[in-house]
Amino acid sequence: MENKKQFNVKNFLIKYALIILILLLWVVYGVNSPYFFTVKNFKSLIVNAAPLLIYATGMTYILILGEIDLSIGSIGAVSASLWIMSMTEKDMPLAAAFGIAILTGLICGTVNAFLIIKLKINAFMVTLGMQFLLRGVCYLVVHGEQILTPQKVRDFAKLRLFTLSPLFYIGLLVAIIMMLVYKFTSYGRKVQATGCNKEAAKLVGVNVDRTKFIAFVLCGGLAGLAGAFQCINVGMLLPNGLGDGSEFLAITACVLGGTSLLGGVGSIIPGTLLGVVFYYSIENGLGLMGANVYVYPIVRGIVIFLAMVTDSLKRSIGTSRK
Amino acid sequence: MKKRWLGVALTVTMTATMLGAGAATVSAAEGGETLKIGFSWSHKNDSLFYSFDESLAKVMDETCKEHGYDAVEWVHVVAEDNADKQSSDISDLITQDCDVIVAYAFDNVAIASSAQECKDAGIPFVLYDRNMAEDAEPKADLFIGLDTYNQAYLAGKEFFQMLKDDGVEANSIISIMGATNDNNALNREQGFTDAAKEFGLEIKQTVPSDWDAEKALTGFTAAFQANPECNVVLIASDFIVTAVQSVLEANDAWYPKGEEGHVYICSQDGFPTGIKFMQDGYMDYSGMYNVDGMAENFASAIYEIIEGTYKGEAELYSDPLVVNAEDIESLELWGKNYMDEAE
Repeated sequence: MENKKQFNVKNFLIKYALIILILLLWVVYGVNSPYFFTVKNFKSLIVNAAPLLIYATGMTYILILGEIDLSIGSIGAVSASLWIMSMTEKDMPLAAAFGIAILTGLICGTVNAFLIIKLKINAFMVTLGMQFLLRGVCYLVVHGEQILTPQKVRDFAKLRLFTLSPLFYIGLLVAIIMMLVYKFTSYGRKVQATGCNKEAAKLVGVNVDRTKFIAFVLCGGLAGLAGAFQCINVGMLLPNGLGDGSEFLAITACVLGGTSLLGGVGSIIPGTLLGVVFYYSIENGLGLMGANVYVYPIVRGIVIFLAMVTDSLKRSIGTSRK
Repeated sequence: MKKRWLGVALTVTMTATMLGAGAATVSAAEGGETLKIGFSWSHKNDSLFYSFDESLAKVMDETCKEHGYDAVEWVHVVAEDNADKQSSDISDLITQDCDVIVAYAFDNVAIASSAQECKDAGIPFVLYDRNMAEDAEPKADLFIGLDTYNQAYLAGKEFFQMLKDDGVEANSIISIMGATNDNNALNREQGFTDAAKEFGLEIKQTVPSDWDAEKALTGFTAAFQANPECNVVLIASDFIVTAVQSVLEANDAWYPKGEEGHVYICSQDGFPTGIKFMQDGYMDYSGMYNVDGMAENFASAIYEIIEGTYKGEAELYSDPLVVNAEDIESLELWGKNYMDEAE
């Protein structure tokens, strides 16, 4: 006898809620603005979104593990400060400067990981504290000054490969690598196992502490790179603004993309990638339509609300199946 | 500049030292009677705030002796944009027996409770740069500020006059405003709007930035694509002008004045980046902070405020400095003191 799966509209809508929302949104924007469905618009959208994609990629691992990292924006700011100073003060080549940014992020991530895993301090408290501390470090390092990106950075930003900025390719490459690691390596499986059930993971021999430690370090390193990318996009280092609130945007993008705040569930591609695209589509479309300035925060609020509702509904479906 | 690298090493120690305590400085020769001023900052993290601080310290050093003080002691506390912390900071300053308390308010309504607390303690309370909301009570004893409406209105008028004189037709005007909950940002937007109206122009699209360069970048990217004919941009503060630069560069529209394709830009504040872009011909006009004028206003009233004999205006406004690209080299501007950051 043929075993037919019954099609459930409700489950389908919830499962593909984000894609449906993106398509609906694009249709609305496309109808209202002749500039929305243009190659130029999509190019600028994905280049502007590259830093958030990198932040959110690291955050996806953290959320899947059932943890949180509120310090990534400040890690990005500190890393970007040292990144830009290594070029303006020490005349380092761009590649080495990127190395400094990533290394700074890795060090910050290691400190987070040490405090959370080794000293058993709550991740929320540790990373919130680090958020303030690192922002202070950023101010002290640059003395609150705004620093313009040097010419070599501007030249790098102008490079085009198939008419697209290198920021886009690097961002996408990072997301693909992290997705492959998650799906096809033993470390990725350990992340999944730990996020689903920490105790069960321990029983089957997963070193839960090491798995989490590595994730926090990776998340820090990616935040370092993302901070430098943010600087490239805006053309300067703004110690009081760079990365500020990026942690919440990253969490929003992850949750929109299907990553659960309770851990155990999530994906980078397509999940987080779509979440980032959705968030930037909203901002982009409002700008193209010339929306009233007071509409922006309302729409941002609705997006976060939608993210939470979607997450809740998905979990309820998951629970009812058990 | 090596100090910055040294700063990294000292940071942890300094952070620990600064936690929970205001940074006190005595800025003139010690001995005799010292004037103790408590300053509660909403935040203090960019060169404009350092400039406020330095200019006030300088003018108070210069004037304290003629008013019977041998020295001025400043106690600075920073609320990190948190209204509760600012309230608590001001309570701490009251406990420290300051002669006067000055605040750069984070919240223009919540600050009224601190004004009441100072009143109850018999300590004069002064607001700096950001005024209390109109319906908030009790008022501060004095407000020192810049007329932010005029900042944009006067700069905008001269800017639009220049366009008219040069025979430039404003095809489409995009304005990048600050935060929608900041009176100064709203005043500036209104000032620009009114100035444009006087020349029969209107702002085609306003982009909210929340004083965030990334939001300005995203918003202006879209606005410029929706208005590709745009050749005039108004900016609420020139600390976000690099976001405009990034978008114009990406659209092959970043050229100095005199070259084909130049987009005319009028901005505000006078941050070093803005000054550099004016010197290089990319930015045309700016309504800049008159930082020294504000400090002089402060010194002109503060001694009488402390003695309780002040009879002048409760709100002292400085006029902005309207500067164009041609005049910029000859003028003394606060942002020039921090130009190394824009090099």
